[in-house]
Amino acid sequence: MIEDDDDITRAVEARRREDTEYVARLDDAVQHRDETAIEHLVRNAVARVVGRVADVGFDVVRNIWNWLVSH
Amino acid sequence: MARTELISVDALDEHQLDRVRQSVRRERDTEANKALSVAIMGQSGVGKSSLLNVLFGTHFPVGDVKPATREPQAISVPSNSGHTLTFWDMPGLGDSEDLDAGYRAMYLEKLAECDVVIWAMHADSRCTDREARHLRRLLDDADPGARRRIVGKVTHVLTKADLLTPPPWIFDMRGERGSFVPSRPLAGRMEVKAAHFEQMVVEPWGDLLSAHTYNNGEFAVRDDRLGFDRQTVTYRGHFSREVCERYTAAHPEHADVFSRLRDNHRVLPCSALFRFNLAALMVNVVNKLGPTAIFRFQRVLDDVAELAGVPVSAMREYGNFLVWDGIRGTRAFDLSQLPF
Repeated sequence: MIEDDDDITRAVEARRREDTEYVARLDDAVQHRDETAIEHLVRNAVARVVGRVADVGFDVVRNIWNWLVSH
Repeated sequence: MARTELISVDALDEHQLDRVRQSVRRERDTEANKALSVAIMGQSGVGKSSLLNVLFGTHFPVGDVKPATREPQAISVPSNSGHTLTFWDMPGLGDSEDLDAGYRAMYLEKLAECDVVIWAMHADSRCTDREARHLRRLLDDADPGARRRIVGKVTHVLTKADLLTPPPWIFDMRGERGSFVPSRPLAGRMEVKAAHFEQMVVEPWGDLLSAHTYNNGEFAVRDDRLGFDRQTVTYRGHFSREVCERYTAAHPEHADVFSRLRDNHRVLPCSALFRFNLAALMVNVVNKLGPTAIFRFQRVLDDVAELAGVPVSAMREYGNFLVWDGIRGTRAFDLSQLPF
C-alpha cells in the first residue's frame, strides 16, 4: 500500500521527469533515424553519380540535407 | 582490407551535386508515400485494436467481438493526413497448436515484410511460455538472415497494465487533464512482470539481437560488443538490465547513452486506456525501423493521438466500483460524482 503523501509526491515527480525524458527521446530518435536514412540515400546516389562505391563525407550529407530543408 | 574512398563535397561538380539532390529527394518521397505496414501479434482480447488506435490515430472498433482468425488479416486505412497505413492482424502464436509449414511460411513472410512488428501480451498473462515456444518453432524455419531481421524488429508490449491492481494507480491531476502514475508498489510489480517476460521472450534470442542509439558525438567506448561511429552507438547482443548497470558503473558519464540502448530491449508495460508508457513504446518502435521506413513513419506521426495525458472527464469513467452505504441507503463513494 502507499505509505504517505511523500511517497505519492516522489512517485508523481519521478513519473513527470520520465514522461518528459521520453518525449524528448522520441524527438531525438526520429531525427537521428531521419539523418541516417538521408545519409544512406546520399551514399547510394553518390555511388550512382560517380560510378563507383564510395564513402561520403559529412559535408556532402550536410549539403544535401540543407538543400532538402530549403526545398 | 582496402579502404573505401571518401568523397567530399569539393569532389563533386554542381551538376553531379544536383543529380544527387534530385535523386535523394525522389527516393525519399517514394519511400514516404508507401504505406507504413504494421504487424501486431497477440492473442484475442489482449487489446491490439486499442493499442493501434492510440499509437496511430486509427479508429478500429475495440472489444473482443470479432471471431478469432487463424489467417493473418490485412486492413488498410487512410490516416488523418491521407497516407495509407496497412495493419496485419496476426493471430496469437499460442492460439493454434498445429501450425502447418505453409501457414508458418506465410506468417514469417508477413513479419519480414512489415516495417513495425509489435508483440502484444496481456500484462496479467501467464501463458507466455507457450507463445515463446511457438515463436521459436516458427523462426526455426527461417534462414539465419531473416531470423535476425525479424527478431530485431519485434517490440514487446505488456498490454492493459491498467488492470494490474491493486496496488493502486495515482491520477496526477493538473486542471482539466492529468496523467496516470503507478504507485511505488505497483511500479515494482510491473517491473517484476516485465523482467519475467523479457527473460521468456527476449533473452532466448540474445545472439541475434543488437541495440542502437544515436551518438551525440561524445561517445567513444569500444569493446568486443560495443561499437560506435559518428552517428550511432551499437551493442551486439541482449542489452539487458544487468548489462546496462555494468556499463553505467564503468562509464557513468555515458549513463544516458546506456539508458537509451536499454530502451531497445525493454518489455514495456503499457495502457492504451491510461495513455501509459506510450512515448517510451514509440521510442522502441523507432529504434527498430528499417533504413528508410522512418520516412513513412514520419508521415503518420502527426496523426498520433496524444501519447500522454487523460482528460479528467474520461478518468471519472474508469472507476470500476462505487461504495453503497447499506445502512443509510446512499452512495458513500462514487468517482463519477465527486466534485473536483
